Amino acid sequence: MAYLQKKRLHGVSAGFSRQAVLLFCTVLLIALSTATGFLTRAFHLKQQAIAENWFQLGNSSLAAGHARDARDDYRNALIFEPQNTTYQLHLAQALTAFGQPDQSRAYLLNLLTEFPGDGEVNLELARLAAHDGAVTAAIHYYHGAIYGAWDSNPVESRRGARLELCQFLVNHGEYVQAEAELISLAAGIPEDASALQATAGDLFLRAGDANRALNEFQLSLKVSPGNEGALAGAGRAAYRLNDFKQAAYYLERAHAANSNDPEMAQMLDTSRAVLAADPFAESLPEAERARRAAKALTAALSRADKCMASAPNADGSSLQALMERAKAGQRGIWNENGLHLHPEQIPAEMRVVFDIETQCDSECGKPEGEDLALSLIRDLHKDIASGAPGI
Amino acid sequence: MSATPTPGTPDAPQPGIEVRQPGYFRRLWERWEERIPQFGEGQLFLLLAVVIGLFSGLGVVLFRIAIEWTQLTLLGPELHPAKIRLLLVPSIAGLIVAVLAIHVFPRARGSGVNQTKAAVYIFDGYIPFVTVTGKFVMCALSIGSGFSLGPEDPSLQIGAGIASKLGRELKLSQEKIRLIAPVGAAAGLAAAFNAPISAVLFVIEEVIGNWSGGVLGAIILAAVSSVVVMRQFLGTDALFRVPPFRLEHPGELLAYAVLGVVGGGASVLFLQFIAFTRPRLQRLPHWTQYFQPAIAGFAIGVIGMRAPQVLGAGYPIIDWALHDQFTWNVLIALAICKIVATGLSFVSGAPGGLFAPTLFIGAMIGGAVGGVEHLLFHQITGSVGAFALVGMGTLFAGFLRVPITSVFMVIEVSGSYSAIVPVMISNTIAYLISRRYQRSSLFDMLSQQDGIDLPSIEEQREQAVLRVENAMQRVAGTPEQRDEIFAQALKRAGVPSDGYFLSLDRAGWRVCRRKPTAIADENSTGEGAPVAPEALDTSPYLYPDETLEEALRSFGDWPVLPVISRADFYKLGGVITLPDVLRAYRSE
Repeated sequence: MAYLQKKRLHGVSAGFSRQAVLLFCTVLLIALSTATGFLTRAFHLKQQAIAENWFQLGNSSLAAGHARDARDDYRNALIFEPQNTTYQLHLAQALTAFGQPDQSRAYLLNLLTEFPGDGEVNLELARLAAHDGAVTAAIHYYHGAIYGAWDSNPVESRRGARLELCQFLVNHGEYVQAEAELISLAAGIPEDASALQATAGDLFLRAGDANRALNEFQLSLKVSPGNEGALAGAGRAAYRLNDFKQAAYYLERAHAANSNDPEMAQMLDTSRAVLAADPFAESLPEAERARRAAKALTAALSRADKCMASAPNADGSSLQALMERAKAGQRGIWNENGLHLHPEQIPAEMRVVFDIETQCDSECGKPEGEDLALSLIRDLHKDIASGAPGI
Repeated sequence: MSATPTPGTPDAPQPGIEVRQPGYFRRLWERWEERIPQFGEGQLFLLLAVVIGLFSGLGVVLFRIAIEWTQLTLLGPELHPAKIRLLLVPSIAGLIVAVLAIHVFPRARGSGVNQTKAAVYIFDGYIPFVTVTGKFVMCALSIGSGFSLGPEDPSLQIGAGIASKLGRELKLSQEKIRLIAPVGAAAGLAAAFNAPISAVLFVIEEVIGNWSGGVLGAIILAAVSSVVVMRQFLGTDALFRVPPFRLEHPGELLAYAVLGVVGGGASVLFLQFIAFTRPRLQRLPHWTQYFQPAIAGFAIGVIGMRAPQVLGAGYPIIDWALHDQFTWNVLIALAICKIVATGLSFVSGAPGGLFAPTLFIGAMIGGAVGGVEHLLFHQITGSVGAFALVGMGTLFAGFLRVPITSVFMVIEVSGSYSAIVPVMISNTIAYLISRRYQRSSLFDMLSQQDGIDLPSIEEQREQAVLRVENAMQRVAGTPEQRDEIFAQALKRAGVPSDGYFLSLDRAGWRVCRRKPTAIADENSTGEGAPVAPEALDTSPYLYPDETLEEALRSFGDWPVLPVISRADFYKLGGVITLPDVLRAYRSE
């Protein structure tokens, strides 16, 4: 055999015992391990430096909105540090930004397996689920983000995640769950976070909780009295609560700052109209109360006439009966002078006004202008509208 | 203090000759050498397995760093290297590799698997250490310059070479030196893949072909110790990170069966590409061998301009495929480019392994099949990444034809057990298709092309095993028929029928004969006396399911042996003679 011939020729190893060879192997192993350790470390440092360089480039690209470049840079970084979870997360974010949610999800799910309690990973997955409209999955991941671990700014990050969850729930019409999350969110908002309070107020309003919404807007306005969004929000919330005095107050200020919002302008007009037309308003002189009541009846009759004319096929018998009763009353004491002399008749007269308005609503659609104000006054004084004694 | 030699004794100094006393360190060494434990051959073999594992682990760590450093230096730190680099680097590296392979390291060519098998079966376990050096340098250069080859098979040969060198230095017996190369091979492969189980299985499935207890322990020790070293320096993470995977419905297994069919087909294509191209290039004039790797390198550079992902081993790209980073059409394009690039790299004679490219192609094909199936059937829940993972194992089973290794390899390189069922289904289908349409496995084909006759482990596996039940004469019915069949058996064996008889005692059925001493006593005392049990020789016995090889070992000088049931020692199944065994082998 070739090696035996070679051994005979050279006879190098013949002189060493097994113990000597083993000892030599031990020494060689130690030396080789040390050298390998140094080399590995040097190489890893070099790889880390290159990876970090690509990572920084990726960050710059992402910040500049160049998601494609960012994706390529992060991928290059991962070539040198494939196990770096920060790079993986950033790549996932770049992929999401570039419109490749499936690719992003693959990385995120992998990260989630490794760090199931990581807030950032859960949040990214929640965003993807929200983007897909997967409500259950989104809520699951958002909760993972809210109760998960965050490396930096945990309180703010959790609050941000909850805010996103609330927005998602409101957008998907999940108002009950949204309200519960919003209450938790509002409890944690610092007193000086005006913008966040306004946002929470807005979400409360969209979730149907005008009371809490008004409260959040008012808290926001305490810190930033001129906050236009908070003013408009507070106005809307007060309007929703039928608190037209406050609504008019906030909406006037908001309108002064931004007069381009037609809806807000209409709400302001309506609020003013309600305040100007409500005969049951506190501290009104008797004469004014009588004037408003008489004017309301005239307006109601006018709407009823128009309604009868515009919808001839409608069953107008009950409206006709109401009109006849109103007109008879008008001819009697349900006029300005009569009501001034008999203020106790105002509730009865206004009940007829409210009934006419209600009938017109059902026959001819939603009211506008002064009639809208009367409808709102009816809602405001439900006890009177339902027959309870007024004033 | 040493004793003074007595004049006249053999140790006494001869007049006029100066005797040099051993030095202090020499004496110290001798004293230490006497005290340390003396190892027997078996103990030394196991200890050496650990040492081999440690050296192989270190060697593979250095090898991987050398490859990556070369790649970083030659191709730069970005995925898309400059075009000029892509054209020049692989071409020049190919030229250098060719010169080294022809003039300096002629035995360091190829992937390394067949070279290790040749060392075991032809060269008595001898692998010159210069081959290890050559493999290290040439593979680092070729893979690092972008040739589409992997570091695993070379690592296997590096491990085997280290083992062979250590075995020789420790003056192991010839038998042990022959066995030590597979031990090193397992260590090298385990460190390269960070997968000790797959490495052990591969060496058993492809190199040694049996589960010999004598070597299995050493192989495992070496594989484990090399992986420990590798993880110490390169980290404990699995080679790939796989997104979570869950099979929602058993019907989805059909989707993976389709992948098995496609993977099997791709394996056959890849094998036939190499089978067709390699011998034709080898037949070209000798001087062309200087330029073949360079031309292949240039072609790979051209491919790399459009698809730089195919350069080198491609592990990061496999990782991307596992994370759904490519659309199905890109995956198909990458698979085709990789097949061409790997085929060109390998047939040109550039040294490097085929394991990593096989995984790459498998991952791309798997991902592509998964992507297409997702388009067609939206209810499939397995991600494209899951298909890529299964695809890796599928091509491994179909192309390298190591079905068991392929299953465990997927588990180990991904660190995930979740895909085991789809992997088993897909791998089996790919393996069967590959066997059906490509007669020889890759390694058998390569050894045939190189003109050496290495044993085909795959064929050994497939060989039917002849058992005792295939050769024995069955005994049934009455005692008369039983005696008749026994007499016929003795006749076939060519021995007189009166010297042997069948006997049933408490231990079951045996063939008996009188001991020579008893025959002598009988002659002196006269016939007719009853034969005492202690005066009889009793035969061994066989079971019907024992192999004929085992039966041959049992025969000794017995002309006939009983075959009894494992469930009932008192039930004679039949009798068997040596002519029966020979007849069974002849009629095979």
